[in-house]
Amino acid sequence: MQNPRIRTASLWARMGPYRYFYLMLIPVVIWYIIFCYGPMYGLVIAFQDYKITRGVTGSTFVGLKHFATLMNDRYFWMAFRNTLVIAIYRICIVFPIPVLLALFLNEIRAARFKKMVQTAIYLPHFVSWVIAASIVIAILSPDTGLLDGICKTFKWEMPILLTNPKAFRSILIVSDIWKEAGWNTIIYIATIASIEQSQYEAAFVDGANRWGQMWHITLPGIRSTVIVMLILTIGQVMGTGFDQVYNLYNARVYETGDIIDTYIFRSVLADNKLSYAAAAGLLKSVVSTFLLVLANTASSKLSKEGIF
Amino acid sequence: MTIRKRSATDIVVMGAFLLLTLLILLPLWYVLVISLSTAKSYAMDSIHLWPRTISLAQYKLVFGNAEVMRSFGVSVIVTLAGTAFSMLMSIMGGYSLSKKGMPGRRFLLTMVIITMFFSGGLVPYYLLVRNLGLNNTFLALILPMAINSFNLIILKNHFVSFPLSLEESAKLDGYNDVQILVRIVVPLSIPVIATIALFYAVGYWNDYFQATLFISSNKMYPMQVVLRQMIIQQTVVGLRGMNGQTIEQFKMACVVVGMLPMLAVYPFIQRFFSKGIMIGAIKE
Repeated sequence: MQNPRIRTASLWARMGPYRYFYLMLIPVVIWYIIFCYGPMYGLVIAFQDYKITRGVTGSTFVGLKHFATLMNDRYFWMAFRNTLVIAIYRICIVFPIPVLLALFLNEIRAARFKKMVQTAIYLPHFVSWVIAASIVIAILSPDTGLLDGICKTFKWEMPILLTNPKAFRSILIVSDIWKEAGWNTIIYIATIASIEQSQYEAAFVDGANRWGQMWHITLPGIRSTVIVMLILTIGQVMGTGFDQVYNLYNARVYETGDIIDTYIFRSVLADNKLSYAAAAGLLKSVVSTFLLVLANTASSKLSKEGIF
Repeated sequence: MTIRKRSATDIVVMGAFLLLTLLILLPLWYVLVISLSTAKSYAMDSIHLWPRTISLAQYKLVFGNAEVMRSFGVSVIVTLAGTAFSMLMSIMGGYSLSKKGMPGRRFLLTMVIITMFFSGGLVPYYLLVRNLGLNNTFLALILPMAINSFNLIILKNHFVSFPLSLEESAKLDGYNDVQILVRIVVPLSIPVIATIALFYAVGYWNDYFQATLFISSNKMYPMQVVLRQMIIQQTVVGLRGMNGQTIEQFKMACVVVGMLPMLAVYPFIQRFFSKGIMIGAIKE
């Protein structure tokens, strides 16, 4: 029925009133194309023998050569395994803590005290990982650290921590909790605040005590937020932690602490293996996407909730 | 609403949170105490949780140290310029994308959200910024970080909920859409804008990664890079002529100076956090 020309004209007509918005969007769109979609296109170098002097267009394609090399790279698989293990720790140990904190923060009735606690537990989030790692080093270092001082006072033997592969993942988990667990309560606290007060009143009338209210009202109230956050966390967990690991690790703890991102970083800056590192990054993205889809599918099946 | 007296449970919960709060503040307090002790009292104690005598000597050294102060200046400039630029881009993008009915809106929003899950990764990014000729310029510390999609979406969600009637009446007064944004919408959105500006400022202030990748001249290093070299890599930057014990104290004073600006600003913005700003962010 419709004439294509009229349709075009009507699109123009529909866009007309928004011309100022399109104008404002121009720099934003250009930025996204260059800085977000440009690197996605740049991933083709994972299939090339990329030479800086030749550029993306001039370098030769080598197919899956780098991926084949990766398969036999013992250090890559060590980093791969470490990334997965640390990710599992982050999901199982670190993720639930803000949920619990938010549930119990909600039970504090003294408003000023609650505010004070929130201010304090958000604080470490604003500290950089460079500084957080500096503080961890200051506390744990042998001879001068706080822990060493405590051990000396009680005549205990000071354990080796910073250069001990067995202790490194625990240091990661504890410092992650210290820095981010408080901040991550914010989304749950906001969700709890949006629960209708009348629900609590109804539960109270039904004879629910405060634990009953927490269990039957607050927890179901934040359920979908928790699920969404869990899916997002699972989808991004393999790409988080670079700043933390990079500032805390050293060559002695590579066997348990080196993750894919730090491995890639060293391959680029120290060894200049650009195509190879890009291939490692692509492999990580594929696994990460797989985890995201898996988490989302599992959640949609089990709880009818998902993010897409 | 039911009003109850403070029960035993309340006391236990509050006690537990008090303990937790102290535990979280302890590392920060520890750093502060070391930096404020006199050299003599630092040497006398092995656990530095209370300063015997307070001295600002280390801070005088920090503020007199050319290298540390130059990096502090670099960080201040990058943070101010970067935050301003980020806010300009994010407000323009977030406001425009809040206009339901604009052709292409859905598509552009999807393109934004895709970047929250997928990226080209480090290597293509590194090559891109180098090929743009940004290395060893301050632009390398700002331009690639200009937009955080998460922040843009928070702003967009806020603007969606902005009362349309205010914008319409301004239109009747002859304002165009840009004027409406600048004169009506932005002044009435200060809580959200202040919060997002803080997020960006923290990102710029705390960044060491961009500089590690793209800056090779000492003179352009931001503070976090200098702190990293000093404490984590243990290379002596500007530590000449100090004996072993005061170096520890000097480092901790630098740590305090490196984190203080953000810790000092944040409590003023914190009152805006609770107003449901974050909640819309994950609904997209």
